[in-house]
Amino acid sequence: MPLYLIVLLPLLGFVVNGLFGAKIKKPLPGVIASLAVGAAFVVALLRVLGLSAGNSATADEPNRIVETAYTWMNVGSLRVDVSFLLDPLSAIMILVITGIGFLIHLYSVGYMQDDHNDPEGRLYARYFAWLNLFIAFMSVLVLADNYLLMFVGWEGVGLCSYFLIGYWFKREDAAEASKKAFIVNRIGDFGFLLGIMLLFTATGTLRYFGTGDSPGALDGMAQNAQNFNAGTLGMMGGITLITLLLFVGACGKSAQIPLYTWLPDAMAGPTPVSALIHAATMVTAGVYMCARSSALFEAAPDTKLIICIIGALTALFAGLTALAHNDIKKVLAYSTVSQLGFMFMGIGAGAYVAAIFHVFTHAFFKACLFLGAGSVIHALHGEQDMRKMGGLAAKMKATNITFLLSGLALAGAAPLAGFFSKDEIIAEVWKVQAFAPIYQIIGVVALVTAFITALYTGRQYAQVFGGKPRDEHLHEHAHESPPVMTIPLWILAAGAVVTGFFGVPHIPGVPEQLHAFSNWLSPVFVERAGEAHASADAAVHGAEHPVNWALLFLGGAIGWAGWFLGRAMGLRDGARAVLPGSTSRLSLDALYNATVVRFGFALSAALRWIDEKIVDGFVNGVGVFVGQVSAALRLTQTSFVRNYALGMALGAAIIIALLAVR
Amino acid sequence: MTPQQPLTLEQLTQAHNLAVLAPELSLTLFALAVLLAGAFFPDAAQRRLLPLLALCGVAVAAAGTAALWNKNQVFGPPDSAVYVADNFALFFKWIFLIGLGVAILISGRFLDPRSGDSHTVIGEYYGLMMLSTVGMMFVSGGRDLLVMFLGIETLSIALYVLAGFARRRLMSNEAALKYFLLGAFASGFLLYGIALVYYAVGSTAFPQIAEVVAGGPTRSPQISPTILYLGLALLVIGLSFKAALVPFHQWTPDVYEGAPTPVTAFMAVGAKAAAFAALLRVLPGAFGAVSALWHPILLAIAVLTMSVGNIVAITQDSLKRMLAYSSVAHAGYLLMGVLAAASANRQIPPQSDAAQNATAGVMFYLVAYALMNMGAFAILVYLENARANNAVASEIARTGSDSADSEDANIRVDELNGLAWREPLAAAAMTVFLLSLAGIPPTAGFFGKLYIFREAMGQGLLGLVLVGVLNTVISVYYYLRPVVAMYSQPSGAADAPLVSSEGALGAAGTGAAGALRATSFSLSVTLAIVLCAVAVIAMVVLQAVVFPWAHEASAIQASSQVTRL
Repeated sequence: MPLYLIVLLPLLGFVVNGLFGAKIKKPLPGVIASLAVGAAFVVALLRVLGLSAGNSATADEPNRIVETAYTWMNVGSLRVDVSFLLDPLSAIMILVITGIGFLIHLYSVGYMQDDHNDPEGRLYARYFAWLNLFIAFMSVLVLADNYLLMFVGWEGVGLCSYFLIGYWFKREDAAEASKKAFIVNRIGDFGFLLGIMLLFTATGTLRYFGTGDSPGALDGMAQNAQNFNAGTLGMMGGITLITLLLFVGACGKSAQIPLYTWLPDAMAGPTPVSALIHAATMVTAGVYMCARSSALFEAAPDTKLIICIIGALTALFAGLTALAHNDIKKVLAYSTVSQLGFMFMGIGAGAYVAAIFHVFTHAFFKACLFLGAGSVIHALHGEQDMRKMGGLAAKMKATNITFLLSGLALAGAAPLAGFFSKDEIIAEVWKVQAFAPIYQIIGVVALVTAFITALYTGRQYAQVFGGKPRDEHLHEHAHESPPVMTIPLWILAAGAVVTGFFGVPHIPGVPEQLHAFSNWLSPVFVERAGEAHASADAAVHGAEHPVNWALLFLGGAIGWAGWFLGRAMGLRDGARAVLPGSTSRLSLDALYNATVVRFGFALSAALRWIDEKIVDGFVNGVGVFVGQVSAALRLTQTSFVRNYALGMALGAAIIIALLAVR
Repeated sequence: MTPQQPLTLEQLTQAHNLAVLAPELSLTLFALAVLLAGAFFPDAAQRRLLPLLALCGVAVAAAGTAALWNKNQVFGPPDSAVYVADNFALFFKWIFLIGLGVAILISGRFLDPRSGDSHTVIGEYYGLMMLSTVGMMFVSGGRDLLVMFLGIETLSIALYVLAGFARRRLMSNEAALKYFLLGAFASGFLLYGIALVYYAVGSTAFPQIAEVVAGGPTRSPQISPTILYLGLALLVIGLSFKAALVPFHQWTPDVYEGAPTPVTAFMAVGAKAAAFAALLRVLPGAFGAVSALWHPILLAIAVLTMSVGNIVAITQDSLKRMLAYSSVAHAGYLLMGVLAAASANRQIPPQSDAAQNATAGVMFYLVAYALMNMGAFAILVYLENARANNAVASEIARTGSDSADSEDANIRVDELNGLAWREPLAAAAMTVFLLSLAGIPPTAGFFGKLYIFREAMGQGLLGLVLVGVLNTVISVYYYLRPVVAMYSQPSGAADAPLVSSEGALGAAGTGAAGALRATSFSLSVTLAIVLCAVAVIAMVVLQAVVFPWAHEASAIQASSQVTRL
């Protein structure tokens, strides 16, 4: 089965729902859309099994399938094919996209059934059409075998995200949020496009990998390095500039400082959209792109350091902000930003396997958390304020258990998925030799952030499901969601429990099967600089064990400790524990209010203020500034011919002066 | 130009290959036929017949253009021919014909007596449009400053009249007068520039100019190069006015806004493309050897044009005016391609391949620009039609008579609120056009920008590309406003909907309203919109065909210029 089927099937679903959806009765459009994605998943699975059957990859003969659908453009030196690449990296991404995509489509059938924002159901088919189109573009993004095609997918998913965030167009916030997401992303996209064009200038090709005698952009960096450092490009920093521009693109799509502001706002879209696009798939595209370009990033250590720092700052900042929010989806949104920060720490440390591993596990547990949150919101008729929840554990058994499991996974509680993937990143950051002191500081920040992650997750779980109901009326009407929604939850929660065991750290005594993930993926990436012989050296390898073991225990302890502390916080009267600076009685209850928690909340409240007033203000301020320049320029448009003629004459005088008078 | 004895017609046809003029001649003949038919047929028949006749003219001219493709024929002796039908010219002729064809399709209601002006002269309208196109064709094929000038004047004078064609509307009159006054000013610059260049070089033909400039830069050491540079400066000024480059753009918003919308569309596409054909032939072509002189100036103009166009567009409330500024901005992107071509020729040795790619990029961009801009204006016409119909319908409901004076006040962005719910297809098409104008893949506009930015980048014009990229980000802001408006709910009942539901029309009396809706022009406008939208999207695939065409077309342009050295 050709690879393009994976793109074509959801595209077909989009066309069918787009053209005839309005005439089909609920829930048929949803069923069509789900089947299309399900079929794409089957195709992807078969192809990946085929790939792994032929898995005899060596350094000389990589495990890679390229299929050309057709030649897209062929002009002068530029030749771009629409061709798809299946290698271990794109295999993992495509399975996540179509697999989790399918589950979320299924869930959506139930979730969108009674949409109180759209009682007549006029939008129902449109929702699934966009969702299918998203899957198609996302598949293009990860399956592309060249940067231009990847960019098309990149822009396409942005467009679908725009339409899906603004899906409830009647809501002011949705319309605003969709516009903001789109515009902020454009800034990133143009960095990305500039990077691609510079890369083309330097290497003369846009394909990742070459065939035969025509090398690709990522092949043979030894020769390529000369191209990068020649001429104007070299003067401007060569490969460092290119990788930085690529990272600007990743910042936009994957919501890193300073381009992250759109993601929390994007929660105005339907919850399954948040789960699919703004947690599991699209927002990880930046991580995928950087991992795909590992050959470039390995040649640019300065860029890697910057990425690591930005990732760490984003992770810490967003984690603290998550503590100060009371909206169930906003907390998850900031948590996503924070986890993306972890992934970029991995990229910045050159630990591409670890970063992609975290993408993989995060897709499961974060999608599950979002869908669980959706289930809660669904049960409470649209209520998203956690202060009005509580005590839902008894009412919603399936949602409760799945939320608990995936929450623990996010918190990094051993031995769930998030524990392994997050720990791996922290350990890798620790091991970097270049700029070691800075990386070690980052490692500490990462540990602190891991603790904060556990804290807000535990708090959220306790506030929503634990304790006593705080709003009796809401609680009374709460009900468990239908099976079409809970089955995806169970599957995802199972993923949150088991996926971690594919990537157990390399510690003696651990069976080889438990490193399946890194064995499968590491041939794709360029060895981290200076590590090729280090890892071969048994002595050095042995010296790492204590560090690894220590981190493992520390990580597990941090996860659980944070979880229980957070849970205790959440169980306390929500209103008091949540609002920073609220009057707290001097009681034993307020013990940590007075100490750690108090400080933490003050800090996170301050960060929230910075986020809303300064970062947002800056982004908006640029817009206001341009608007004012525009208004000023508009004044020159007097609509008097004499003034226009004067303007022309002045312009003419300047040009004549410049050209003729010398 | 060497003085010549007047030729008899026989001598003329022997010495000159009239087939070269097939597109121009056929379009002129059809224009005359349209004018004549306008004199003899009753109004009602004219309304049906003339657009069809005009479209036939477009088809015949397009066929003639196609027949000449790759023949590379010249009019007159090959070494001194002032008019050529190289692929460069032919490619531009297709762009003009696209503009003309769509403009004819969307002109229907504007000429309808119910639109307010009951004495519109239909024959003249179509005739002028076609003759203006002939002028554009002469610009693209002229290999001599004087032929170029004649072409520019032919196209401009027709446009002056067309801009003021809605005689009863003050804005239209004002537009025509402004355009004429400032246009005359610009023509003065242009002609004076030609005179000075002729004095300095001794010829007005491009190949000779290129030869002398590369060697001299004037024909004898006694003549100061300053004369040549002054002439060049005046040429740049004149052409900048025609292409609406900052700071010679100020007429654009007023004229575009005041002129009848189909005319605006025609002007924005055809006249701009013609100006760029001239710029490409004159600057990297004839004056390529002194590009070190004009390159920095045009670079500044490009930066200004992009920035001013985009920044001012942000605060426009009128959709038409916004599109006017957007077309100013697009001229800036196009200029980037011209600069890249010149830079490539300036390299040592000249990178004729890169120059060709850059020229082709400009030409491809113009195709994309023509399609998406025509489409956006067609939507505007569609909305104006709908509003006029509603106005007429409500007038009938109120007074029982059909005498509504539906002044085409310009459509504001906020009037689009909720359009997607009343007119999903129109809204979808408009979204496609706007996304393409913003340069978002996978639309035609994206590929246009990609090709131009890539070549500019390849020539090391990094600062320019950066400005272009920043401008694109800015432009997204205003291109997205209408999209957001269309897909949001109408803010209140106070907003008169542009396209009312059946219910509103029903209240106005089904008979009259039904008759009004079932007019043929709405069909042709819809056709125009659908064609443009399909083309803009299909460019994802079609660009693999169209760009190579542009590439072939620019090959002749590049090689004919390279011979100068």
